[in-house]
Amino acid sequence: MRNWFRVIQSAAAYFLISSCVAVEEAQVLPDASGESQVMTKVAKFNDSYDTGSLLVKFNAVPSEEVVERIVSGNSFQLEKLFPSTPGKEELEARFGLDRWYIVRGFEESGLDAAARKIAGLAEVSLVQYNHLSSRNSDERLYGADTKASADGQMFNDPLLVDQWHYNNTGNASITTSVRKGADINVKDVWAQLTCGDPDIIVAVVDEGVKYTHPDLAANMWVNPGEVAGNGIDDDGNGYVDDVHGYNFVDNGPVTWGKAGDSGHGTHCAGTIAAVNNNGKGVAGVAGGSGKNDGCRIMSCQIFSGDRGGDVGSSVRAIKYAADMGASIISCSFGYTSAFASDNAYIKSQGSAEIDAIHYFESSQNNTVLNGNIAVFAAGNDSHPYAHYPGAFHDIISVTAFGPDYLPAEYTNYGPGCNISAPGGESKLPPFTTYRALVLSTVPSEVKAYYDERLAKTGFDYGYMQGTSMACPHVSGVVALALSYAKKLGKTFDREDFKDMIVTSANDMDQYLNGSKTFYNGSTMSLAPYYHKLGTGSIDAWRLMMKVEGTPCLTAQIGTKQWLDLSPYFGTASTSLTYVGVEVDDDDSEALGLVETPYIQYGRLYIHPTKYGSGKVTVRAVGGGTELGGGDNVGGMDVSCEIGIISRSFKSSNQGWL
Amino acid sequence: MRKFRILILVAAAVLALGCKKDKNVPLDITGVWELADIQTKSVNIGAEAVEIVITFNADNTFSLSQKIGSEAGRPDVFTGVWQLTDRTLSGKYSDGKSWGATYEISVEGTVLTMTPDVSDAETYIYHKK
Repeated sequence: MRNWFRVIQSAAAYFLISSCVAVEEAQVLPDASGESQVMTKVAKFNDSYDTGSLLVKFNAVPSEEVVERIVSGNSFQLEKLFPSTPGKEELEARFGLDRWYIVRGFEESGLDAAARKIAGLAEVSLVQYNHLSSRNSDERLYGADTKASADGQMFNDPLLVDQWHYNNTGNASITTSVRKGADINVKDVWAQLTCGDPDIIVAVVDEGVKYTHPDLAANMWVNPGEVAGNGIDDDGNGYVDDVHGYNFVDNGPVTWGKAGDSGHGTHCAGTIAAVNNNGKGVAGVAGGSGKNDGCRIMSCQIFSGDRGGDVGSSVRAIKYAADMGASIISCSFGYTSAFASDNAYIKSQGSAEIDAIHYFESSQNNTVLNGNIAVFAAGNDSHPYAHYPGAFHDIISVTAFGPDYLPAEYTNYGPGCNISAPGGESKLPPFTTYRALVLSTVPSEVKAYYDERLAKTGFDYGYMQGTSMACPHVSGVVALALSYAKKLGKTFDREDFKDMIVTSANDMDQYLNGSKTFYNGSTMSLAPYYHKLGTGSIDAWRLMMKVEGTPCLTAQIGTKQWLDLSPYFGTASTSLTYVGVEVDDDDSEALGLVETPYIQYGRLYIHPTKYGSGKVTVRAVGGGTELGGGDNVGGMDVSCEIGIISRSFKSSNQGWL
Repeated sequence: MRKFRILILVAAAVLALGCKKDKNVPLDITGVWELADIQTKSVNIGAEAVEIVITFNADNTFSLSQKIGSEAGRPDVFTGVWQLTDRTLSGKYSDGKSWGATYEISVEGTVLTMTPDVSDAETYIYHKK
């Protein structure tokens, strides 16, 4: 804890600067006209928060004198929210992490008063209540029995055959509503391109991951600078015994079997990188080929039993992931409250999370990107908007579908949602098994609803559903993409890579006709989901092809024509909302364009008159119909630079002849 | 003297024509051909790299491997059937779509020249691999 700056009130200090306090008190307690100004600096949006702490952001890094002045005469303590990491001071300052403090030690009844008092200080820019997020699943775990053989699957993991979410063959025993291909299309990626890379680390910001799990242990990240169980912060990063990650709730070792734990983190971890081809249990999206070549899992624990989920824990966990080498954070949590926009979210909730996420994404922990990628679940309340922080305009937020390729009953949808992935759907007919949910690893210590009347423990594998389960599918696919790019020696700009992820999707709108029917005969209208599940379902193969590179489109000289944009924007390209087409003068001249290209009905219209080539940049909304950011909640601004070759003729299937 | 000169010219013309290839001799385009050059009426070829390899099989099937653009990843592969009538080459892809053009072709040793039958077309020159 040596990097932590802690100041505790002392009697001596109190007497020494008591005169200053008197002045400060006068400033802190605003008059009636100043009260509203003070309250604009207080971010509180509901009554679900840690009553023992507040988060405070200063206008500038406060001096010791300022900190002492604040705590003197008050009962509370002030300490830095984020430990500083040597070599990253500039990045910490860029995102203001060095200006965040956490305040503790006041009476519960004094929380609101303390918030007002601190907000009244001129040096303080924001006081944020330490709000509590929730896991994005129903936290119900249904145990799965292991099998003896792998049934001829690509890997010898015996339960892979039940993981429809990777390779949905249309097996009606999962559900009579099954639709072949409702998966992440990863099978050929495993067979031909990559199964992962140990240098790509995915941080699971969640409940603790059972790092001793027989199907996870070999793919757990190991902190090379830490010695397990010696009670010493060997690497001096501020965290003791953080060998596979850290428990930010209890400030200690990662845990997973407390009362109140659901197995959520271990389940998500298994989806990302359960060990493949080890003859045990399940497969993970980026779990390797059985040759110790899987991506690695870092456990950043922010839920512990019935505790946790507070902003203070999650932001420290996210910074830890950034500082300790994670390339991806998989975040299956969020706030259920609705925020009208990014600005409203920051105003009501505060900016600590966004500061931490942007710090994470601006850190560089791999050779492929000039940054990292954050992936969030969209939320499970059937709300027509994504939950924050995933709804923030530049963060990937994932909706959920079932093995029927239709939106799950619980999934959030609409503004702020960027892409969809399998999350399971429990109530599909005939409702005789739980196989329509997502199957993954679970801690055997956690009670499973194997039979709802008789909860049992002892399962290493189990079914869960939620956007929580969809989120790690995308995280795993991104891990595969980084692995493959590394294998090819390719590099990308982080924002371009996010655009590639969001546009590597398959159209789901084609299935949104009429309604879906549940096992009990109840129905759910599909019309509200049209255009609102993001850009479509994540397609691992399509993303790998983008990593390899996308060919130019061919246009015919002398005629105005439309070009299919699906190679660049996915099979939902005709239903996306486009916001602009740009072509510079040189490219326009090279192609002999007689007018500026434009988009109509999701197609690019272009009229070249010369043999040649050029680039056209097309911008679209990555999920939904309006761009997010500022005073709006909406999709990501995604752009693709499209290569055009103009020839005297072309074939309708883009063949050269 | 003038008549003599005309006779010489006529004789030379006959000889020259006699040296030309017989149009009735069928062309053999079987083999693997790689795009080596594109001759265009425009000087602007652009910055994009194009890699094309066509295999014309004796059973009148073909395989086309194409990488169009410097940023293109793995080659796209198309298959189908071809037909050569006199010097006119046409074909269809396996998905039933016709080629974008038919071609007037010539073969000179290891060089296959394909000219689309459209106005102001560029000419494609392939080398046998």
